[in-house]
Amino acid sequence: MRRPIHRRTVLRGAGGIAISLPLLEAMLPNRSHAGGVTEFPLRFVVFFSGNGTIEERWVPFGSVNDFTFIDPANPSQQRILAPLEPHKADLVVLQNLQQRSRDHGPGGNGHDMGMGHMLTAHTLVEGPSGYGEFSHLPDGSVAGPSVDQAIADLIAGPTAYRSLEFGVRANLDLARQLTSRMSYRGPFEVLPPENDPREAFDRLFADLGADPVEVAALRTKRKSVIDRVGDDFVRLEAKLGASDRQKLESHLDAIRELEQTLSNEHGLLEGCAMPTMPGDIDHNSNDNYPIIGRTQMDLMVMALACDITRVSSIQWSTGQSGTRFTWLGHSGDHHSMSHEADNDAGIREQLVAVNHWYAEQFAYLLSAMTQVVEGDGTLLDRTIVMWCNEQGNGQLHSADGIPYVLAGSAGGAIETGRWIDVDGAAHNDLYVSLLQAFGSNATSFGLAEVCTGPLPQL
Amino acid sequence: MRWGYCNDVARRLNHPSCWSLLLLALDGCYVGRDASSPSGDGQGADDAGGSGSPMSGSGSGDDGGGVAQCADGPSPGLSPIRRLTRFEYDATIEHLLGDSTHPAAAFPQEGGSGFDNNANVISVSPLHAEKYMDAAEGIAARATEDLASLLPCDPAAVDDACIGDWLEEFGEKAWRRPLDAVERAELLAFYQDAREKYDVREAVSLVLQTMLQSPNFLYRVEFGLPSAGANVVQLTDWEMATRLSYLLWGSMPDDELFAAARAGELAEPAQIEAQARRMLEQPRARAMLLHFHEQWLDYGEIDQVSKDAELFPDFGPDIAAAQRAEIDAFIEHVVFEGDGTVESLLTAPYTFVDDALADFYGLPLPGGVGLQRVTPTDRAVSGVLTKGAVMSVQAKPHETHPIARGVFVREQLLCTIPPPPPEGVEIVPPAVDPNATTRDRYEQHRNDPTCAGCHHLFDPLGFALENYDATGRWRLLENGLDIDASGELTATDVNGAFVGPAELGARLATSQMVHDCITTQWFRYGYGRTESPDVDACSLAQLRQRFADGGFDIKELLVALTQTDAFLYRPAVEGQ
Repeated sequence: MRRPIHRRTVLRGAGGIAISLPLLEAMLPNRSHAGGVTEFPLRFVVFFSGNGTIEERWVPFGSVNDFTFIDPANPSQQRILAPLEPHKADLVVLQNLQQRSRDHGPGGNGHDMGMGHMLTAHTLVEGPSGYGEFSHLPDGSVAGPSVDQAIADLIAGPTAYRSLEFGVRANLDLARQLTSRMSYRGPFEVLPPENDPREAFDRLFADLGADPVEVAALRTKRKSVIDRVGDDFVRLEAKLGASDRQKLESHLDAIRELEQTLSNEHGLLEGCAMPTMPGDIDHNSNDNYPIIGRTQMDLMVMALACDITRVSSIQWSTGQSGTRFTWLGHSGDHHSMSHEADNDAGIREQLVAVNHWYAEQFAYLLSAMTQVVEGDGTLLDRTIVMWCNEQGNGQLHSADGIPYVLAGSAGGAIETGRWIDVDGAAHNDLYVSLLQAFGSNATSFGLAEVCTGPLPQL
Repeated sequence: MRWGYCNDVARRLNHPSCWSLLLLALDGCYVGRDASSPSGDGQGADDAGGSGSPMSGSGSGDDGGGVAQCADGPSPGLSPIRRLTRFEYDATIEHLLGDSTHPAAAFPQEGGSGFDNNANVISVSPLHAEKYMDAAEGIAARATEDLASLLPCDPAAVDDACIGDWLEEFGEKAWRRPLDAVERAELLAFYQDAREKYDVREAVSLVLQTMLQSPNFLYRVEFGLPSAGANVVQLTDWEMATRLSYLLWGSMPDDELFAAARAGELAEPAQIEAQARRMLEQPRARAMLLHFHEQWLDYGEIDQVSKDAELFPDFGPDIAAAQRAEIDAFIEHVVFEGDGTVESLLTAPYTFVDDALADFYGLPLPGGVGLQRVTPTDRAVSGVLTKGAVMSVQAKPHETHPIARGVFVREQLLCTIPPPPPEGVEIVPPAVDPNATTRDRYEQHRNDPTCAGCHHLFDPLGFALENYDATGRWRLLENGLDIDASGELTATDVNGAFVGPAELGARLATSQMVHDCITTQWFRYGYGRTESPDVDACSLAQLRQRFADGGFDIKELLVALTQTDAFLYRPAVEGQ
């Protein structure tokens, strides 16, 4: 595969030599030195996997505060959440959340609806093309920001990135933007994920791994260029009609944010360590899905630990995911399998295995966050990680019974170690609770008419 | 991947866009009257009302009085500002600087409405801004490696005059128009500032980076000719050169086009047409043509298709790549070497294979180096309809997907959108049965009256392609049973029973609905937006007329795209 020259190559090119990893690590702060003094920030993470779940194989056994993911009567049966058994104390398992906002607004395709409503809890908006194949809204969008961005408004802080979106083969379907994307600043302001771990590494950690003098020199140059470019935008905007001006304004906002990225220093917190540079993985290959995902999670954890960002998401494939879990021995693809679950016992078991595999990935992420020590706690303690799905039952594209698992407490803001049946509560209400956990006094999020305030049980 | 099941539920009774869908869904898709009349004859399908047509929305606007309705003065429709797509960015960098490293491969993917260049859905995230910066740095680093060929003077004797000349010359290419005095002065001042801190190479590199991240490079900026009080204006010659080059090449103008702009020779439609004809003969037009087709015919994702390794052990990335090369070669051949007609595109009995692909398809090995044109005699080959890339993409990993193939034909070739299934229908694909054909299994749900009303619109089209398996190989038997490739076209202007892909292709090739659909698809791609049935009626009518007059030759349609109101004019910018 052909690779463009990256800025790290430019960085290296100037000095002629690359800096070796041990030296880079030596440049990072000493853990013991920083320990106990730093005020560690709060973080929020979204973990998405799609096509719904098999609820009776997902649901725990026991009671609210004393539950297990293993079926006591049938301990050998594969249970979806079993990989999370060691993390129970850090979890809130939320059963029976509902995307009530799906009853409102335009849209008809279950995957458009599911993905568009999932993090916005708001209606869709139609694009100029209206409705397309299978009731998709090919150029439609969402009516409001996604919850990760609303939380970024609260906690982003002076980090290099306001939020970081990672993807694992989260490829855009040419005609189905809504089904492919989940994070939004607002209507038509989609935040695409970075699908290439190597690109992500270069963006996030190249500076950390380079000679600080060179980094500073490069930043000076970049700022002068960006500044000049910004002037061009301002001048041109003034001459354009309203809708074109809006597009350039949004571009200029992105450039201003890039200026921020170039101005902010990395926090270099106690748990920060240079991640391993990803190998040259073909990030489009279906069979590389597991290794791409692990690598992206490793990068995400260090981006949080190094305070490069405080809000992040990892999007595993897309709504209507066509991933083929060949490493589990499956031949069908996830989406078509999800349409056969209720009629084919073998396929149903495979879907349990798929969701169980995602639970393993979620457990890996939680373990990695637990291994990052921050003062007398861990990175996970200061975070809420939210595992969500765009459907409840994949075969029905149902908006109810959507499986959510929260992990971490945002510094004790929510009580973990619980399994709660919220009995069809709107997922808007969960997001209000999350906003409040991160210090907001908001009482509504997303579509107001279906939101009743924070989840009382949380 | 397109999924052909009844996977959606129409929810919005109160939404106009859904009315026709809902009506049909409630009717079980029964086509209550003869919908065989093609669009444009004033008696057929009524797009707006949805009273009986299976079509919703696109591609079949009524051209009523032909071009007569264009009499009220130019009606260009909307003209939203367009940002270079990843495809256009890479091509532009290659033609501007000879840099073919494809830096835009790292940019976020883009799309909506089926094409990557829809101006209504382009947005710029912070990730884009950072990628533009990274790309510009890399491009500038490569471009300044050889200052002697970049600058108009000896790199050892660079002075402000030299940089001024360079800005004038290079700036005109990069921003696709002459720089004004203020812009030139600012860039020169920026260079001088940089030069105080850095050497010539670095200072030039920084100037280059600013030019490549400027909206004047990344966007196709248009104001039109000043025309006090007018709602509609003509384009400047420079703007017209850029419109032409991105329409026909997906890239910047070449020297000849710039020269024409400089000489003021792009004002008259005849001048524009002459340029368009010249441009279509250039190699750059081929890349654009394929870029359109891989999106229209939805075969772009062949690169990522994977199949069940046990059932199809011979299908791997090499075959997928060969299938892409096959359909690309075919389309290029039809349009540029062949007669260029829709009929050839949909019915030509030949294809292009190398030994490996021929072996995979079970065809005689053609020998030679690279792809060879072959005309199989043992199977029905019908233009793009039966190409391996299309068949493989419109299939599941382990079996064919007749519904997806049928919907593909209806959606992409007939521009009719099948309605979603009625609410409450459980969507269950038929179970795999080793003693039945795929068709037998899918026929079952056609016997269910809830499904049959709609599925008769597309299932029979997919059934007719059942001789091609999930990897595009010809077969006569499935599970030891004969393949039944009979099909039926309904609710079109070429209705009737037929057998196999060749008869399907032959019928589609004569369909006015297909001709209109292709016109619509090119309108959307060419103008970067969805047509408006009212405002764009004149432009669409102009296109259809010229397409028909040209014998449905794709190249004539491309020329026609440069002669419409939508192309020759734009709305005046407010306040200008």
